[in-house]
Amino acid sequence: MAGSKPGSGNSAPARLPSLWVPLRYFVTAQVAFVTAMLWAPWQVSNLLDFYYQGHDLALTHLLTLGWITMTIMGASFQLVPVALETTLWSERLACWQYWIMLFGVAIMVSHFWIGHHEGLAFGAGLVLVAVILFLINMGRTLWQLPHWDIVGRHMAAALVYLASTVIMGNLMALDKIFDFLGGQVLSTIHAHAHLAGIGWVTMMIFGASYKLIPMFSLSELRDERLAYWEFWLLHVGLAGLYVTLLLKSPWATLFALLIATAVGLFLWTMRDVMRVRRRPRLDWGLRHAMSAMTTLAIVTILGLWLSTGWVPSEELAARLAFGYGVLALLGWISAMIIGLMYKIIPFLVWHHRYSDLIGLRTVPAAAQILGESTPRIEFWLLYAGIAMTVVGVVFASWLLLQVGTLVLALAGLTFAVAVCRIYCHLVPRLTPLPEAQIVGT
Amino acid sequence: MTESETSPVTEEQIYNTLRKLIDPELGVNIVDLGLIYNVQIDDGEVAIRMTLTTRGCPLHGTFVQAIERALNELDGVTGVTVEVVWEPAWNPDMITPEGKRTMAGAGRGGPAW
Repeated sequence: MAGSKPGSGNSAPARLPSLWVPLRYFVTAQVAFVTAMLWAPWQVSNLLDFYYQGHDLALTHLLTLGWITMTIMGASFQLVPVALETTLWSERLACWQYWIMLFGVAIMVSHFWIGHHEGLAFGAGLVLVAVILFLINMGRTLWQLPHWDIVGRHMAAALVYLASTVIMGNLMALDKIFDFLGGQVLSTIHAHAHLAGIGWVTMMIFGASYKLIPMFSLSELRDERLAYWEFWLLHVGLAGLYVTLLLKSPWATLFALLIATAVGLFLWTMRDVMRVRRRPRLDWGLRHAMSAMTTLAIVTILGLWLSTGWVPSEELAARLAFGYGVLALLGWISAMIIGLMYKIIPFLVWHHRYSDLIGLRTVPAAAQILGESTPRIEFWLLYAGIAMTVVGVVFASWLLLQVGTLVLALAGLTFAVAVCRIYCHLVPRLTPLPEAQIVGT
Repeated sequence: MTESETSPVTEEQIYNTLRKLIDPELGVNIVDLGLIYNVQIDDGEVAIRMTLTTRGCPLHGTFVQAIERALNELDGVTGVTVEVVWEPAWNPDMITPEGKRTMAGAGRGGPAW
């Protein structure tokens, strides 16, 4: 038999980065998430107290930087080549960035915890360096794009908001030492949190969703105009909200309304994508994503309400604001990230372990690597825990908060089991193939 | 043996072999997914024209190599060329009824979809 000719094509395939580039970010992020979930039940008294205090901020930054930002960074290295049909500019830079980010987050969280301002500022500085490296890598990668579609625009905008958020965070950390910012600290925190949650994370998730949700559900984005409207409304709304939160202006409601409209357009677009999907059955990755989007609607309504200031007492307003933050952080962002992880990690592992065996051996599908039962249990634990925790925070119920955080800890452990079972497939000794069937015969 | 080496490979054999290559994300084989646009056999030289479900798909190289490996195992195949094209663009309507049944029916115990 003559040797086969090399495969050819008229389009360059996306080149995936090597396995460890995204994987080290994912594993670290998952450790941070599980740690935060196991930590929360020990913090119930602090959580019932006012949210602006060191222990709560340590827990929050473990989630926002250690879990959410680390995951998005890893996912960007993995997905940008696929979503935008290009190649990651530098794998080496991504590796350097990882270590700087890891130490930065660890130092920040630990110094929030012990209330050491100089250490906190040093950790924040390291995170800023890591983010600059990330921006250089992503910027050079995006620079290769032949055209800017809706996905690329969202990603580029999210990167700008990430830089803004981290610069602001560094100024806030330095302000704790030199006291130069002035103004009210709570207004600054609210502006910083919205810049991160909406500008960096939500903008990135929206952009990724326009590509990934149709791809995973076998559907299509039929009307891109709504996505472009959403994009600009989110910009204008966030810019206005940021300024009005800093100034404690009543105009915040107007800009919150613009953001709510942008969210509505996104959810309407996703509803249309799901309505015309050809994949009849939703897997647990997509179920997480759909539930997260439902929670986003609730978070948006709650945020709109808080922006009006029509709350009977300041104490209730503070508890509602904390509940709003918990719901956004866990019910919207974390649930969405878990859902996307259930799609991305099995594929990543499958590609590393089994792609060379296709055509030679019978190999499991990516969904079989994830399995069904563990994600299902994690899903129900997560949402039960979120519901109890948010109600416990809003109504200042120690019992609900204690039970809710314990259920969240179980959800975190179940998530850890689910991803560890996926990672086991990287070790052939732990997951031997059942039979040595030659496919071509 | 001599007979099997000289007997020409058929289009049906090619398709049957390609049906054993399963998309890891969708759990459906690449023929029933509608990814194979054309198969040409010319004196043992097999030319496959195919697409992928999305542009820039990371499975590009995986599928090309898998197809080459699997088809080269067939008697009568002297060479394999795989061309990946984007026109016409793939869409889910190209999935065969069998592929749709696999996706719809594969609940518990099947390829997990």
